[in-house]
Amino acid sequence: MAGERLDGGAARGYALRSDVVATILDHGALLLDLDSKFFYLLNPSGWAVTQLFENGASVEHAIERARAWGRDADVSDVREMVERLVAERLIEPAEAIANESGEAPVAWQPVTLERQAEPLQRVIVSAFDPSIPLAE
Amino acid sequence: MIPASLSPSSRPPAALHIPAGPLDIALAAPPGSLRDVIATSLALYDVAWTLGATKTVTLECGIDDDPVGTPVEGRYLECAQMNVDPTPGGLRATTTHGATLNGTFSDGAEHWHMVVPGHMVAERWWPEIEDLLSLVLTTGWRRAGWVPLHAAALTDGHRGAIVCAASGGGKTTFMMAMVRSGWRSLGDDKLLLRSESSQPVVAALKLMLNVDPAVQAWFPEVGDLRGLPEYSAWTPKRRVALGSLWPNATELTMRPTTIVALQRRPGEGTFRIEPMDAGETIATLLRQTVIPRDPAEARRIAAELAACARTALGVRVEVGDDAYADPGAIGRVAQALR
Repeated sequence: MAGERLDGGAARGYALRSDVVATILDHGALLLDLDSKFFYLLNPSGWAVTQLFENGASVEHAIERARAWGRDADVSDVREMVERLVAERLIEPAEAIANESGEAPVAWQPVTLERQAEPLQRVIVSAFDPSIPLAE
Repeated sequence: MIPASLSPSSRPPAALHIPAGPLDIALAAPPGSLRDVIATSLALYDVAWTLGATKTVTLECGIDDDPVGTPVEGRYLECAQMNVDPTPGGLRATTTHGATLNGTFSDGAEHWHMVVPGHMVAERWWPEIEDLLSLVLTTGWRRAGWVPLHAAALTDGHRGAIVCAASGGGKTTFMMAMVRSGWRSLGDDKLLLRSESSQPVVAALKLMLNVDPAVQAWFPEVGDLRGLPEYSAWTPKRRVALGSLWPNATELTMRPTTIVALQRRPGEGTFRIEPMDAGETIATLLRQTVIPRDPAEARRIAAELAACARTALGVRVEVGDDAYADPGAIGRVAQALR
């Protein structure tokens, strides 16, 4: 999916789109894009970073927080993940950003953002049946 | 032509009360084929509700020879023959052939008003009526705190398996094989799920199965089903009550301990079983429910499914061509369930 890049805009603010729904799992979180119907799995570190964007954050702020949580670990993957969040249109430019401190993961690990290969069906059979709308 | 039934002078028809899980549908419709088809569709939900009080949902239906209505866009839900938009007081749906459904919701109640074009009734074009009914039901169940699941469910009294597959993916046949080996079933395609005291609970909605007559080759005890009426032009399946095939094989509730992703694997062999990780398990459940575009509702549904996936083991079961020819093969699947 083509999307906006961070080039030259790292100080800009971004926020999670209002129709991207986050659900916390035992080990990370799930993001469901209600527009594209794709869903994504984040590990705990990826979720900690992404959660910063719930109320808006700059990219530099997210990297700074990751650096603090990771205790000098290499956090270059954080910028790549935020670029993917932008490219996938999961976060969008925002004027008002909270730059909250966020909640540290129990243990810092390289961030992962895994998109499921197949989206949920955009057009469904009925309000009960999410299957592909084809005759059996 | 069929006369309009919603004119100001017409007396409102007496309501029929039809249970559908935790809902009591108060149906007011003019006598005739429209009311009959709605009542028949609702009667499929044949499970007596035992998990608390039921909620009344009113459904007024009428026929209009010249309906006026603008098709909605599908901002809440987009189905093959029906779109649904949110409105300030609830939901509005329109269908391809011009039927409309308006729902207004208050704290504990829903009121729906369906208008069906006379030509749809004259042509007996019912699929879109069933689509509208599915919206009434799924909305009511969700607002009562449940998540509707398009899945089968099985329990042996200790373990509980939610069996997931797309339509035509083999849920019923798998369920029948498990029942024959001693498990009990909560149905083959429609369930309700919610958490109670942080523990997921699955409830049965209907124990009427949709069975392909061809399964007689593997399950001779079902007999020849071809004499039963077909219920749809799209499938050769027949409706058969589970209890008529296997008395004492029905169950109304269970705690899910395993999520089964059922997949067909063309070629020789029986079953192949492998574990799924947590991501695959929740992905499997997500594909078995309809998630509206409303973020608050989507969030609650995803949270319920995540809670279920958190406590359950996920397994992928691939079904080979010989899976049901060997009656002992299903026993190995049962052993793999937690």
